[in-house]
Amino acid sequence: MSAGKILLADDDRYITQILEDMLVREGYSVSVVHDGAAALEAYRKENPDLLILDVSMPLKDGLSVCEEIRRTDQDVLILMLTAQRAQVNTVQGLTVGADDYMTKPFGPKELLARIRSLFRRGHK
Amino acid sequence: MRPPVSPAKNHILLVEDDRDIQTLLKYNLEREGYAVALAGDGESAVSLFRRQKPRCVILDLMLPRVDGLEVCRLLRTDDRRVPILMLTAKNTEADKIVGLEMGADDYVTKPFSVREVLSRVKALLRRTAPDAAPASRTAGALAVDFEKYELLLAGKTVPLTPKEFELLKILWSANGKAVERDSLLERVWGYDRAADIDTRTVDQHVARLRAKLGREKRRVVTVKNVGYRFISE
Repeated sequence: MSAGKILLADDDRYITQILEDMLVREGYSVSVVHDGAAALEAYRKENPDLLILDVSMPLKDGLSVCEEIRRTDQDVLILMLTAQRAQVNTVQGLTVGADDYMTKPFGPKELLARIRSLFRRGHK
Repeated sequence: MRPPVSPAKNHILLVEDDRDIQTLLKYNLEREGYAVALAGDGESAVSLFRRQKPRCVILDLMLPRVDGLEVCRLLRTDDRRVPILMLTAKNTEADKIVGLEMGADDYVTKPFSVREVLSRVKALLRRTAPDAAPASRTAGALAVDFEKYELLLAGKTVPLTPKEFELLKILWSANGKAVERDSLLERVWGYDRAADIDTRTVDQHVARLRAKLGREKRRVVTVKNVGYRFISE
């Protein structure tokens, strides 16, 4: 049984490959997309438990994707991931409705621990 | 039946032994409209938590008397849902993983940005905000007051145990949606204890709850291989 369904959206294919392998090894079922529009489409089709969203993606940035999802769905878990280290982004990400926010470079084990913590807290 | 103490709205417990950080965070949290209780050591943190049932805990790790990780473990045995944000100078990846695995919901390292801490607290509270369900509801001959922990059947009080009441509250608040057995087990009995409890426990409690609902027992419906749902229409 899957530990949870995760939708991973990042235009950096190197990162998505590493993360997908790691998450699958941990028992999650993972879908990968590489732009914001595809993220929204996959979210609607696949009904994931958690979205991992990169902030800067083609077509639609992660903040807009998060904001759009939160208009109708307060329950799905959202973790934002970005290379932008500026503090304002963290605040912005959390303000538009993300549940957690991590900056790259990040330790994969910390990401896993944060994902586990999000799933523990779970849906409302 | 004595209802549990309900958490004060926006009440935060700040556990920190550094006076400057205490002052800085208390000032900023209060400006955002939170009520802040302070604990300067682990022992008083646990006792304040048990007395006041805050909505969120900001927890330093290096504390006098009982250290932060132990405080976190103790709080989690009492309450698995209250958001705990660890705020600490321990900044290695291993420290963060230990903190999160011990039950913290978030981990911020010092030096920290006050704005980031405030927005993380807000995100934690948003996720764990109590459902905006009305305090009292009716369905047929049933009338419930979730705040008073009172259930009436045709005007007469139905004596429910706290667990039965909690089950009813979760099912009723789901607005007709099915709630899985595992989810009931986790929310009523608590995650840690759930490992030792069989999902049949849920069935037994639902059976007892149904028996107490008399002619309204048909409202608690079994959803095969999933769990239960409550029909209020």
